[in-house]
Amino acid sequence: MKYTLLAVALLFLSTACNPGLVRQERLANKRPAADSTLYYSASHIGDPFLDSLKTDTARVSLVLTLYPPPPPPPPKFRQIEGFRVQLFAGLDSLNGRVIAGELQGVMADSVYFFKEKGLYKVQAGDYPWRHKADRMVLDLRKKGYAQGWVVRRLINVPADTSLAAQADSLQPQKDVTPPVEAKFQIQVLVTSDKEKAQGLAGTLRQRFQQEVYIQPAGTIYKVLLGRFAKRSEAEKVLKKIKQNGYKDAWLVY
Amino acid sequence: MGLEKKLLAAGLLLFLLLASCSPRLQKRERPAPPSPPIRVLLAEIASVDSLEFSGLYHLQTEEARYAFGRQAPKVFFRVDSSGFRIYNNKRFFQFRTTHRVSFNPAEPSSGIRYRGKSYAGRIALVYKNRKLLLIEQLPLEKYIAGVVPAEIFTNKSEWFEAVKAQAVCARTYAYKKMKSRQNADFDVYSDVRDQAYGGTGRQTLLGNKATEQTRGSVLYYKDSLAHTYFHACDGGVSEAVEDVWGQKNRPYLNSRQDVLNDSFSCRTSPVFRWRQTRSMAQLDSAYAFMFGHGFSDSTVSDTTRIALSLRVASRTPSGRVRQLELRYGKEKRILSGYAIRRFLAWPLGGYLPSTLFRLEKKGDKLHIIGGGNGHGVGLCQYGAMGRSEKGMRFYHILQSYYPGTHLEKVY
Repeated sequence: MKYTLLAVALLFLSTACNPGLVRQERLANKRPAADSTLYYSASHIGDPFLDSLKTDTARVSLVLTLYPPPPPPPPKFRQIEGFRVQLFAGLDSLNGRVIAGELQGVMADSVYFFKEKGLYKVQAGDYPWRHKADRMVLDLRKKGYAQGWVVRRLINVPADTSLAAQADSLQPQKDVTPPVEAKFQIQVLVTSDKEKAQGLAGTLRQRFQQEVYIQPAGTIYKVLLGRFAKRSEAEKVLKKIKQNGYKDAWLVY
Repeated sequence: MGLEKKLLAAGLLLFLLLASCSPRLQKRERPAPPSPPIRVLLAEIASVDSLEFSGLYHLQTEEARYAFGRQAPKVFFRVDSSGFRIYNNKRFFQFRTTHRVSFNPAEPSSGIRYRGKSYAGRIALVYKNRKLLLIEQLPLEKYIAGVVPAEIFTNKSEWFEAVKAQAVCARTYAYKKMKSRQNADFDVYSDVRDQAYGGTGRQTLLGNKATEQTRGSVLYYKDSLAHTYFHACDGGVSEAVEDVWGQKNRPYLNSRQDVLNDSFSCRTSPVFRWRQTRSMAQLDSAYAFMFGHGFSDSTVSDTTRIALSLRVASRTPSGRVRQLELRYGKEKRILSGYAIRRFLAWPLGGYLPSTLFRLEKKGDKLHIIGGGNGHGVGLCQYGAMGRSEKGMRFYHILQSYYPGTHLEKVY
C-alpha cells in the first residue's frame, strides 16, 4: 500500500513538472479547433455611395467674384517750385543716410534722403521763398552743419492750402528782406581762461569804445571786438589795436 | 513478487513516462536556415552628418579595424568631391572616393542611432555621385520586423493575422527587389520610395511574432513573385492595377468589391467614407499652385465674375475618377492620375485621400464626398484588419486580396 502511494505520488510529480506537457496544453488552448473560420462573401452589395458614382456626370460650377480696387485716397501734398537746403550729395549712401538721420533729430522741418541722377542726396525743408532757405542754411551752420547750400527744385506743400495761406497772411512781411549783416569782427585773443577773457573784454571796452563779445567755442573763449558792415572800417580799427600792443589780433567774418 | 522487483517496475514505468512525454528527448529542434541579407539605404549624405553608437562597433577598412563606440559614442561624416572623412574627438580618417569601409557590430547588443532611429545591422559606407550612401546590411527577417510596424497597426492582438499578411506582402516586395537589384549598391530605400522602415526601435512584439511565424513565406503567382501592392483602405471596392499606373493587366490585381459576409470588410475604418469642403478661394490657390497663376489677384476695373466648373469626365470600372475636367475662366484643363488628388488636396502640397469621390455644390462651397484612402490596388489594410477580427487566417486574407496566388517558403 505504501509503495503504491509512493508510485502514484511520483507519477503525479513527474506529470506536473514536465514542461513538455505544460507547453502542449497551452498550445492546445490557443490554437483554434478549425484552421480558419468558414466565411462567405456576398457577390455584390448595393451601396448608396458607390452606386451614386456611376450616374455622377453633373458639372459643378463655382463663381469667383472680383471687385475693383477702392479709389486711391486724395493726395496730402502737391508739388510746386521752391527751395530746399541740400546738405549732402554724393555716391556714399551710408554717409547720406547717417546725415539724414542726424538732421531729423536736429530740425523740425521734413528731411529727405533720396537718389537722383546717380547721386544720393540729403535735403531739408520745403521753402516757397529763397530767404527762408537762406535762414535755414545759417541756422544749420550754427548747429554744426556748415556744408548746407540752397537748391531750387520742386517741393511738397500741403494739398489743402487754405491753412497755409492763413498762416502766411499772419506772418509779418519784414521777413522777406534779409537784415543788413555786420559780419566783420576783430578777434583779439583766444584763451581757455574765462576770467582772463572777461578782464581783457573790460579793458578793450574802455580803451576803444567798442562793443566786445566773448564767444565760447568748446573749451576756449574768443574775445571779439566790434561789428563792422564794411571791411575797410574794420581794418582801420584793427590797425589801431595792433599799434596799442595787441599784435595777434586779426579780422574774422 | 519481491519488494525490489516492485520498485524496479515503478522506476522503469517512471523512466518510460518521462522519456515519452519530454519533447526534448523525443525531437531535437533544428536551427532555422539563415535568411538572406538585404541592403537598406538609410541616407544619402551630401555634406555633413553624424551618428551615435551604443555598444562596440568596429570600423573595418581595407588594412585594419578600429574600435568605435566605447569612449566617444558620436562620429561625424564630411563629404566632398575628393572623398569623405570620418572623425570624432578621438580619431580622424580620410578616405578617397574608391574606398569601401563599414562599421561592423562587435557585440550582439551593439546598435547605432541615426536621425532619431535605432539600427543594429552592419553599416556600409559607399561613395557615389558626390554623396556618401549609408547602407544597413541585415538579415531579411530583421528588416521585415522593422517594416511591419511602420506600415500597419500592431497594437491589438485581434489584428495579428492582418499583421502576418502584411509581413508576407513586405517580404515578397523586398525579396523581389533583392532579385532585381543585385548589381546595384543597395536593394531598398528606407522610406515610401519602397517601404517605410523603422529600424529596431520601431519593432513591436506582435510585429516580431508575425514575422517569425511567416518566416521565409512569400507570395507567388504561377512561377514568379507576385506584385504585392497594398494601401490603407479601398472604400469598399478595389482598383485594377492597369487603371492606376498603366501597367499591364494582372489577374490577381483586378477590380472587385471587398466584401466579407454581407458587408464591406473595411467598414469600421475611419476613412471608409469621408467628406471635405473647399471654398472658391482655396480652389483658386490650388489652381495657382498647380498651373502657376490664379485669378483672385488679378486687377479689374469693374466687378467681374469668373466661373470655375469641375466635371468628372470619366471613371474607371471601380468608380474611381480617371479624368477630371476643369474650366476656369477661358482656360480648360483635364487632370488625370495623381494630379487629381494633388489639385483637390488641402493644405496644398498634400494629396486627397483617394480618387473614389463625387463632387457636390452646397451654397458657395464645393463638397467632396469620398471613400477610402490610397490607390486601391491589392491588399486593403483596414480590410485585412477587419477580416482578422472575424477570425480569418492570414493565407485566406492574402487569397481574398490576391486571388490565384500561393504561398511559398523560399528559405
